[in-house]
Amino acid sequence: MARMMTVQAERRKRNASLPLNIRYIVPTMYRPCQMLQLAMVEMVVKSQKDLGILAQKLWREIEPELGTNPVVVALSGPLGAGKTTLTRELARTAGIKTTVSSPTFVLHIPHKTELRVDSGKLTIGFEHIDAYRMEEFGELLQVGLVKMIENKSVIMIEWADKFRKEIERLSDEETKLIWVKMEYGKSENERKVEIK
Amino acid sequence: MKILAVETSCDETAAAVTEGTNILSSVKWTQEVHAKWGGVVPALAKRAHEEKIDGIVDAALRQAQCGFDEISAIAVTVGPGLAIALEVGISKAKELAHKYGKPLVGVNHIEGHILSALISAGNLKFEIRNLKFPCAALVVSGGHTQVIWVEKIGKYKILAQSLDDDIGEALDKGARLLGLPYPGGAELEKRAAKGNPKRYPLPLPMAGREKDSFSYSGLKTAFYRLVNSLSQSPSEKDKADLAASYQAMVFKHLVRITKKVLEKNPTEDLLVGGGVAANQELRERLRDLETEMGIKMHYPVNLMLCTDNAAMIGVAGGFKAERGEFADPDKIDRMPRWRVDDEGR
Repeated sequence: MARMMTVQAERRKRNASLPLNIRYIVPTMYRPCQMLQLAMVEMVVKSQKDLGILAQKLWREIEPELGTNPVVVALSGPLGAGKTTLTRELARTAGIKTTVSSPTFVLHIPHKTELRVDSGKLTIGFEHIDAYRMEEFGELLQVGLVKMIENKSVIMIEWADKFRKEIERLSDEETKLIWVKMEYGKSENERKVEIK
Repeated sequence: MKILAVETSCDETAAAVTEGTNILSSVKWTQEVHAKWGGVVPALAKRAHEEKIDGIVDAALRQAQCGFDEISAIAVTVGPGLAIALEVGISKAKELAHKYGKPLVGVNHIEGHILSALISAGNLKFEIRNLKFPCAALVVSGGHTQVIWVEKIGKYKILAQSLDDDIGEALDKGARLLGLPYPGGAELEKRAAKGNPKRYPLPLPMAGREKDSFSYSGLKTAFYRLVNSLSQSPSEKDKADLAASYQAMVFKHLVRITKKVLEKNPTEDLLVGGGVAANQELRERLRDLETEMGIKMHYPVNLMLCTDNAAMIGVAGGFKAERGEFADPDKIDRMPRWRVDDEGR
């Protein structure tokens, strides 16, 4: 538990500069692997700028895994909730300069980013998948999900909740799986985002 | 010069035989074809291009009454599209090129859409000499929304494209919000034709701060909010009005940006391609542009040439073959995000 507290304190320190009203929910059971860095976060996003800040936070969770483990960011929420926009903001944070448009029609759009690490350069695949048009989990496999995991890519999956069970099962101990649920808020530009 | 063309860039498995801008055959795998072979199509089978490609290529050659000895080159879509889908077409094209000793041509899917207005089908002939280069093209489909400068056939520059959702996707998702099955763009058009486009106010995307790009995600969100704010479930009349109001705004944005871009890049001809080019209301709105700016619109001669097909790949590939732009069979590779103005090959 002591370690948990340190993590929480550390996180609070990192977030101090961010002007968002964020509430951490301490998980009831301490799980050492997956939950160590990421407790459940709920936040209200009021503008695209807020979404950019959220992307930065998300990226900070992803960064330690890069090159070591694959990361699956499973996005859910109704049409127009901002799944593609959040993906675009995350891509920007990751240093991707190409246009990040909706993959609904083509199902998968590959991007990549080059990161500077101690030993030189590291190329990471940033795979943008949309399950909106998919009816079976097999279609996710068809677009090459296994290969992307093998390549230790960052994999964004929109409408991932359609295949929640399969995605949960797919992620072994090495894969970092982050669920991001986006919902419409009260006012026009407001969104509720839940990360776990 | 006869070209055998293969297209598997996303959902469709298609093959065609073309000669110049003439279609000798154009075959597409459809659910109906599958039904004849045996029953219901599981979602997984829809893009199982590997299983269909041989039959489709054979059918294209058979319908054109053409043997491999008459084929001068094999054209294949290399991008943009879904990587694993592109791969199937490329492998097949390579295999055939090797087996029959034919040169290979790698074609950009968007170039196919650009040139689809030039294709003759049956008695409907298009005279290229009536076209004045440079001209412009508008490609509107489920996965593309682009205004392209056509310096000449084979030389392009993208003038505007979508920052988020593409126009066909915007229409399909709008239809979905009205409870119509996906893809519902065509059904939305039918409903909209009976509706009042002024009944429901929706925001014009980027109104007053338009750049040289399209954006549909904000309009989609506004439509979601509108549909969900209705106090009772919409009647058929309400649905028609909702469809009309939404579709009108989708096209208004398209026409405004296209006009803005073409004012800076004056042209006498606009080649319109892609699945959404089949929409009659869009053609009506573009007619306004025609009268205002004196631009002549050119559409594919039939609907089959608007949606994804292999004939357009054959025609684009034919022009490339004439210019001697062949691909190295050892190097040809899928390019899922290949821009039509990127000549990096």
